[in-house]
Amino acid sequence: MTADGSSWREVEQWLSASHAEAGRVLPQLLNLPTPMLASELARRPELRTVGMIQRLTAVAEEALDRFPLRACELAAIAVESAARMEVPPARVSVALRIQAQAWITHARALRGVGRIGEAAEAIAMARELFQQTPANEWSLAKADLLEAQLLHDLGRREEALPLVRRASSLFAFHYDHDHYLQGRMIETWMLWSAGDGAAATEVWRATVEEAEQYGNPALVAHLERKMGVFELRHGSDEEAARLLASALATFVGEGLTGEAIRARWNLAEAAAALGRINEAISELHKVRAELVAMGRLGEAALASMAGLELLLAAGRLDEATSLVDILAFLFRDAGMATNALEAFSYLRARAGQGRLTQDDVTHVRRFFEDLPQQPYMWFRGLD
Amino acid sequence: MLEPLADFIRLERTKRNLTQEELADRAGVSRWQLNTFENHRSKPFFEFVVRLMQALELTEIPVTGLRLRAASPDLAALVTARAAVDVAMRVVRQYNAAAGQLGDIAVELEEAAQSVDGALKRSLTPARPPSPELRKAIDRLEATPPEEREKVGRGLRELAEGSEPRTRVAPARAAAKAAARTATRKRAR
Repeated sequence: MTADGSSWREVEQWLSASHAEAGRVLPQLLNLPTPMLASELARRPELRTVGMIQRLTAVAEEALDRFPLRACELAAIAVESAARMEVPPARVSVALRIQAQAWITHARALRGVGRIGEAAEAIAMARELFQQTPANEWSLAKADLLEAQLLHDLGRREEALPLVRRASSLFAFHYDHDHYLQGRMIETWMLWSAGDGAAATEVWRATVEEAEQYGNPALVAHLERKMGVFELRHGSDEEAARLLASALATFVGEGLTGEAIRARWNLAEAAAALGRINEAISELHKVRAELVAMGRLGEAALASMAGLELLLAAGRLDEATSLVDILAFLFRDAGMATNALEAFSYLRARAGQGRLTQDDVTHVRRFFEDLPQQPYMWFRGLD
Repeated sequence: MLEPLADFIRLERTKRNLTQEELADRAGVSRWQLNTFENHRSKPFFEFVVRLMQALELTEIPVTGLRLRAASPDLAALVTARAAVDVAMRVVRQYNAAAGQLGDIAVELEEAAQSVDGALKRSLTPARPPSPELRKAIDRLEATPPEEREKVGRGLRELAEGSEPRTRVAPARAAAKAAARTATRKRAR
């Protein structure tokens, strides 16, 4: 029971209801110009809920890589709204944690656009909020990881390294492989950029030994995937393919579906880079099928576009045309929204006229890349 | 207050007149790892503690006023259970310190459950053989020529910031390589 007499189930239900309501309203709000979105949230207190802040923060997170300025604006609105949110007294700590997470995203976005000083202030805010919540060491470690990167950006390497090591150690304790490895990668990069290649590779070596020593297959597979991606980006495609295939086999064996999808997609990249087009397309088909089964239709569409681009690059227009037909039906049956299905209709029409080109597919891919930011955006063809 | 596990291990080591180096050798861990653990400077994987307990031939572990005994050789489960109690105790302490701020405790318990679940799964999973590919990859990284160091540094930074698959699977590079493969096959024929 909580302090106000409600059960955990009630707290969970309260959170889910808030999340569902925000999910219903937010797509429309995201279509507004940013100043109007900010003023709507400022004007209507019923919109400033934990669900809305969480969803807005998630949208900002998604935008971090491709739309850093948009991410910055959205995260700023999230923290502003979170500060004015009203919640029942017994649920204040939940709200504080969500508010702190919004500040972390804001800090990441500010760092992404080079506003390092402001990012540091945002981290300090997040830390202050996390410290007011119980059971906060994991959350604080995530703040440490980001702060370490900021300190490194500012040239304060001696302060950054202990911070990132401390955070990695805590993630290892919690079996949080993702953050643990991110910490070790950050440490490697920091040492490398300081000119200490030997120490940097030693961190990699120690991490591998640690993972193998304890017979931790998931951790070894995570490392293989990371290293495989690194090799791929540097043109060592054969080596990348071997590492990624090994990681994929482990993820599948361990039942880590999300990780398996990422590894398979990376493996398709490696196969394509090696000129093994059929293998790449086959892996992308599997990626698409797994994503559709999980209801992640936007990402499934992106995997499909990657396959189509490969077919067209290889001059296999007939196969691309057949695939477009299949995709249009597949995504319709999977329940894809009408505005997104328009993109497939467009591709079908172009293929039907025998005029399907790389530019068409690239155009549709960009549409799907932008769609999470504006879910109600209508598709417009190239003509 | 729960006695820190590191203090317990240190006490048992000194009772047996073992140096850190000797215990590290017996347990097959590095002295550095043991030192940082005993000095509360790291929180190692559960398996690390299990190895130390096996090397010290310990079959029981303190949990508040009790000493729990494992049905040998299931030390991993014992250490895991002890870690779970540790987390629960921490939650209770924080609850007492922050009465009224209860919303996060469910989240913390869920996180604890995930940790314990991971540890249990680990203790039941057979060891994985070393990955020669990873070692080769590290060797290649180590042997980076000076002129490529900056490029590699950028790659490492990219990796540190995230490694999501790219939505575009470089068809130009793929098509060129596919054409080259076809040409090679034709020549071979």
